[in-house]
Amino acid sequence: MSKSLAAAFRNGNGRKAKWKGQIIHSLLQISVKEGDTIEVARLGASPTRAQALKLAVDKGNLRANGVVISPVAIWTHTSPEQVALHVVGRKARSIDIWNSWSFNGVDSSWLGNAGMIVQSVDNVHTLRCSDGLGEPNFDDLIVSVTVRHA
Amino acid sequence: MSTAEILIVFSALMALIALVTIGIDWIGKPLKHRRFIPHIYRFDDEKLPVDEYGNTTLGHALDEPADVAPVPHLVPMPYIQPGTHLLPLQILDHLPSTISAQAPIPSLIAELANPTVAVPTQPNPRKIAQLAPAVAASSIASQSAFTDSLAPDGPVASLDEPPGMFAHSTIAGTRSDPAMPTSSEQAWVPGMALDMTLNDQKPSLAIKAERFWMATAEATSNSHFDQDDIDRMGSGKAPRRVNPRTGRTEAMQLTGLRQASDRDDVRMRWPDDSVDPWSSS
Repeated sequence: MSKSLAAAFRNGNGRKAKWKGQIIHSLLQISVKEGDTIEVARLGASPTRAQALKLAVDKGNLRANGVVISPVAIWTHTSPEQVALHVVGRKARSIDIWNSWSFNGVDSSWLGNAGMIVQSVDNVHTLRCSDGLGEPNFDDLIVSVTVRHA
Repeated sequence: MSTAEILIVFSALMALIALVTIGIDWIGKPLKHRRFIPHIYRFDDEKLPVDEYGNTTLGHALDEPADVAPVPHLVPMPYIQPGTHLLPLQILDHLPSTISAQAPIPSLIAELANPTVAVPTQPNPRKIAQLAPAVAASSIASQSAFTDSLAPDGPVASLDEPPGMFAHSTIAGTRSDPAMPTSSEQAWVPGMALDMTLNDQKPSLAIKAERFWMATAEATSNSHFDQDDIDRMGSGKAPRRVNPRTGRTEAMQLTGLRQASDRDDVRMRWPDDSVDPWSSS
């Protein structure tokens, strides 16, 4: 295996790297404030292993499925295809989004060839995520994240 | 306080002490029969040879000449199987005229039992090996060392082993058998139990973690770990990742390592406190 995306992230600023002419993200940061709603729709996922999208507010929490927590893990094998999260916390300024996967029962992120290709149009962000195993495959998890400001 | 009162108080104290002493002697095991076994004797083969009465015989045996057998204080009664057996008077008839202290006990038992029934005689469970004279001399000179092998003076009555074997059955800790692996040669390799004791030392938690990562490196193939991480695991270190949220490097953590014996008993996890709100619904 050639140089992995994780190694490319380590050599760069840790959040972005260039791969085959595309900008790959290890983490997507979006500005939010208290009361905003984050809608996450799962567009596709690899059946090979469980995939997840994780979201965390910098100085606050998220209300999801009736509980207030942070970070939130939206796993493909447990969550509905469309979920809505609410930002809780007066000091909340941004939300971090990254992908994760389960391998041999271990919840992992930011390893191997893990990364995200992000396409943003206004408040709609389409994330095509690659888990860390094997060659980069950005169809492992495809989600749409829409931020609705209060 | 008058003299009479002092005498009364003194007598009461003495009576109290006597009562306590009697109580200890009556209720508890008498202190004089309690045996102190030093903790340095960790293995059975390191214990001092003892006679029938529990007394150590190393010093006596080393001091005694080779041609003089240990003098038994009592004549052990032979066990006679049920069935045809001699009456007590017949036994007395067959007893040798003088029970010599130097007569070997097995031959005495056989002599007693031969006329009627063959009495099985058990071999001495504590077979006494004999040392070469040079080795015996060094054993005697070293009073602090101990060994199961007793060293009489005079000619060596060889056992079944070739003479060269005794060169290695010397004082404990002073010689090592070249055929046996030395402590430096004993090393844990992947595939062994994580909690395997080597060199008489139980592995610490850090050593168990090292073993786990080494075993994981052996079993890892087609995983998301870089070659750097696999190399780290091969050297007993945890794989690492860079957390872009914090900008810090995180090492993988292990849970269940303390009680684990097998690699599958240990769970790996990255520092992550994320929660799945739908996991229970």
